[in-house]
Parts: sequence; structure tokens; C-alpha cells
Amino acid sequence: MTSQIILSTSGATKRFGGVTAVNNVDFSINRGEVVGILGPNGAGKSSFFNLLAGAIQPDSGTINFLDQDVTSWQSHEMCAKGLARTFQIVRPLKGLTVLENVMVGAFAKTRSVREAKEIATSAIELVGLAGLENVVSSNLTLGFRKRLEVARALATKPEILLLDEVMSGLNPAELDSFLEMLRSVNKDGVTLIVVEHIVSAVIQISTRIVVIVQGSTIANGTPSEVINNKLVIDAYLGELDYEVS
Amino acid sequence: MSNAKKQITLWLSAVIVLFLITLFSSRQGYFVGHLIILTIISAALASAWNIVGGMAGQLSLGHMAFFGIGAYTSTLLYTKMEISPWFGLILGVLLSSLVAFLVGIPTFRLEGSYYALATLALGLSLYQLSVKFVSITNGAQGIAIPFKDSFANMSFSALWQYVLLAGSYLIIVLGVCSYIAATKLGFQLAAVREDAQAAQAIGVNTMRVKLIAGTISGGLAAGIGSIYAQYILFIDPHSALGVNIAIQAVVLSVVGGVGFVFGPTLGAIALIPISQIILKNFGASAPSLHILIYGAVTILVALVAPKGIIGVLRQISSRISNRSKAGQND
Repeated sequence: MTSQIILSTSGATKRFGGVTAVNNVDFSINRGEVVGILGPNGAGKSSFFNLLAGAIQPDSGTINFLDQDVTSWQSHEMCAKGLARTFQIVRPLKGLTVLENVMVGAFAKTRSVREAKEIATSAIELVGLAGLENVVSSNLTLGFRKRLEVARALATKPEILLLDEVMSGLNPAELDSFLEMLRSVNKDGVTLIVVEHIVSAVIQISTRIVVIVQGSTIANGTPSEVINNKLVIDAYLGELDYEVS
Repeated sequence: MSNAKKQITLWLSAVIVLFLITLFSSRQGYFVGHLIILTIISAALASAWNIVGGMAGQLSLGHMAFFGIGAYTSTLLYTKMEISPWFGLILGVLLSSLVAFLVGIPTFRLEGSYYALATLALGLSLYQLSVKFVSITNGAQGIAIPFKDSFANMSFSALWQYVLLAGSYLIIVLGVCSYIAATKLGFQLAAVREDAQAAQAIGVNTMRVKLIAGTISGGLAAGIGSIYAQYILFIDPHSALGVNIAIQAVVLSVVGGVGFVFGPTLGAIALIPISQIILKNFGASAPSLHILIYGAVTILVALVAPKGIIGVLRQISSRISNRSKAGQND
């Protein structure tokens, strides 16, 4: 069961006008994996991410999730089925408190207010926001807002969690505890897809890395395979002499 | 369970307050009674508006349409076919809900001000229709409702009976609002109001919850239209379908506290008596002065207290509780 495919795309393509943002991408992720998606600016990472999340629909190709064709599904349907996401630019529900924010997520799987509160409280604890339940979310710092994004997504009880640039903008101390938190989320059985600019963070947490350049995948393998891949070095890292710390 | 107890206490006290107001109004002259009824009617309409306009954050500028559908449905059925206004009220609520639902389907798909424009267009076209279809609505001359004092006719000889009628309806509307606010739907509406895309990503079917809010809001607005018609005993396109009706609902909600269950009611208490007193005393010399006051108060509230009266009250109470906490620490 460990190598069971949970989410996959086949020939997924998305064009915006004349630009092919996602070009014929075949991708799959197994239950329990942590897959990092790397790529330079404008490579199509976010578009691919939005395709997976149901925020946009592909022009051609198919998306499969938990053995079901979900190609034309909307994001709330994906969420109900067990896929949650965070946003690159954090989007807290500003007027609501931390607890209320996360409770909205919890309502994806329950009708009961009390149950939603319980789910939300444990998600808030998991991401390290305990004690801030009644703070209005617009008053949080960026680091805490990013945690709130994760808590809200986790409260929907996802099988798979898509994290869009969730670690950029964090300071090194925040980053370490954030990685720790994501590892424990993964240990609890949530499959993770991490789209990230910070190469070192992705390498630290991922079991597998996919590199996207100009809408196509050019590499797919373990972190060490990928960062030694000639194509990746040329396309992504350029001439820089990159070392893993 | 303490939450349920709180709810019961709240609604018991609402009923008691209504009885006290009814008792009070029965001992007052005509003008005070009239003020109380107008305040309650305005509060009920604004509270109905608040469900879609405040809780869901979907600005409607056309709630005169729903108010008017209620007023005209009960009035036409009563005056032309002698059907009890009680039945007319229920039919008006159902018809208005249907219209609100149908308007929501195309417009809630789009972000931004489309719903506001569509509801405004709906209200303005119903106004024009009511002016033009003279054979049914008697056009701009309006319809006078014959007064036959009986419960079945929803016609009462004493003002306090209308206070009780409109007040009971207000309590129903507020009950619906607070039920929504305390349940899953309320949380989802708040999420839609704050950020529809983010809400959708965490599982909120934004289209569905907006439609539910719009339908309930439109339906409840119609009921108060019927009650207004039965109280005034006369409706015309301006008083039942005028754009000022919708504007007033928006203004009262903004002043009282948009999105809060009791916001529109507080707004009505703060503004309606004052504007009616101004209208009574200066109506002849400065006929639109009360509208001017509305505008000025709204601008002032938007600048000074964007969350309205409720926002100010909350700030004060949190400041007091902070101070008492600080006092304990000393």
C-alpha cells in the first residue's frame, strides 16, 4: 500500500493566450510521499499547482485523484474529496479570528459547530498557534499567517496537502520549526506537495523532487539525483556553483 | 449547553422587551406609536438585507424589489380576491425567495458588483412595471387597502397591535439571522465575505452559500413589505418599490454594524426616530432634510467607526474589561 498512487496527471496542459504555462505534464504522487516542485520564476509551477487544486481547469489532459477522474472539478469539490492547499500570497480571512478561520476549514468535513471547534483547536495546536485562537487574523505576523494557512488547510482533514511557497519570507529560525511541523504533518499520514523557491528547504524535506521549466518537467528523482542533473543545473541553477548545506 | 442556555435567555428577553414596548406604545399618543412601528419595520427590512449584504458581503441595492413583491402580493390578493393578508404574506415570501434565487444564479457566479447592479436593475424594473401596469397595480395612484378590523384581515384598530405584529416578525428575522450566524452556514458566509477564493479552497461551495443567503434575505424582506402595507393601508410604486427603501436598509445596517445580527436593529433605533421627528417638524420647509442627515451620519460612521454602533460598543466593552483586568493585576 505504501506505493499507492494518490494523485496523478496525464498530459495536463494549460494555456493562457499564447503562453503554454503547463505543457503536457505527466505527474504522479504516492501516498505518504513529500514531493517538492522546483522551477525558476514563471516556469509554470503555480499554474500546475492550481490545476491540481482545481482552481483552474486544464485545456487538455486528465487529473486523477483517489482513483477518480477529477479533471473538471472545482476547488471546493477537491477539498471535499481530500485535497487542501495553501496560497502563495497568504489569504487569511482577515476579519475573522484564528479559531474562526480554521473552523471554516473544519466545516468541510462536519456540520457540528462543536466538532469543528475541536478539529480546529487541534489543527491550531499542531501548527504552533496555540494561545492565539482569539486573535483577529489580520493582526498576525507573516510567519504566523503562514502557519494559519496550513492549519486551515489541515482542518479540512486532507489526504494530500499542497503548499505553495509556504516557507518563503520566513526567517531561518521560523523556517526550521516550520519544516519540523511539516514533517510531523507528513508523519500523521498526509501526503505533501511543496512548491518552493527556497531550494535548500525543499531538499531538506522532500523524498522526491520534480523540476518544471517552461511548463514541462525536465527532471524527476531523489533530491541528490535532481540537483546533480545536468539539465537542472543549466536551466535552474545556471552557472552557479551550488552546494547543499 | 451553556450556549443553548444563552440563546434561550436572549430570545426570552427579546420577547419580554417586545411586550414592554407594546405596553409602552399602548399608553402613548399616535406619533410615538407610529415612530415605534416604523422603527421596527425598518429594522426588520435592514436585518433581512443584512443576511446577504452583511453576513455574505454581497451588496444588494435592490431590496425594494423584495419588499415590494411582499407588499403588492398581499395587497393585490386582499383587495382583488379578498384573500387574507396572512396568506398573502406567506405567498409573497415564497414568491420573493424564488425571485431572489433566480437573480442570484447568474450574478453570484461573477465577482464584484454584478449582484449589486442586478438587484438594483430588478428593483428599478419592478418599479417601472408597477407604474405602467395600471390595470393591475393602479399605477402611480397606488392602491388603498380597505380597513376591516379583524385578525383574519391583519387589520387592527389599535397601534400597539401593529407593534406586536411587526415586532414579532422582527424577532423571527433576528432569530433566523442569529441561527445562521451560529451555524456552519454563518462561518461559510463570513469566509465568502472575507475572501471567496480562499473560502473555496477550504471547501466552501461559495455559489451555494451565497444563493442560500440571497434567497433567505429576499424572502424575509417580502414579509415585512406585507406588514407595512397592512399598517399604512396604502401602497404605491414609490412607497413599496422606491429605491430609497433599499438605500435605507443599507444605511441602517452600516450605521448599526454591517454583518452583526443586531447591527441593523441598532441602526434603525438610532436613525429612524430622529429622521421622523425631523420630517415632522421640518418636512414642510425642508422636505429632504432627513435624507441629508442620513447621508451625513453614514459618512461620519464610515470615517469614524467603520464597524458601526456595534463596533463602538465592542471596543468600549473590551476596554472596560481590559481595565478591570489591569486593576486586578495591580
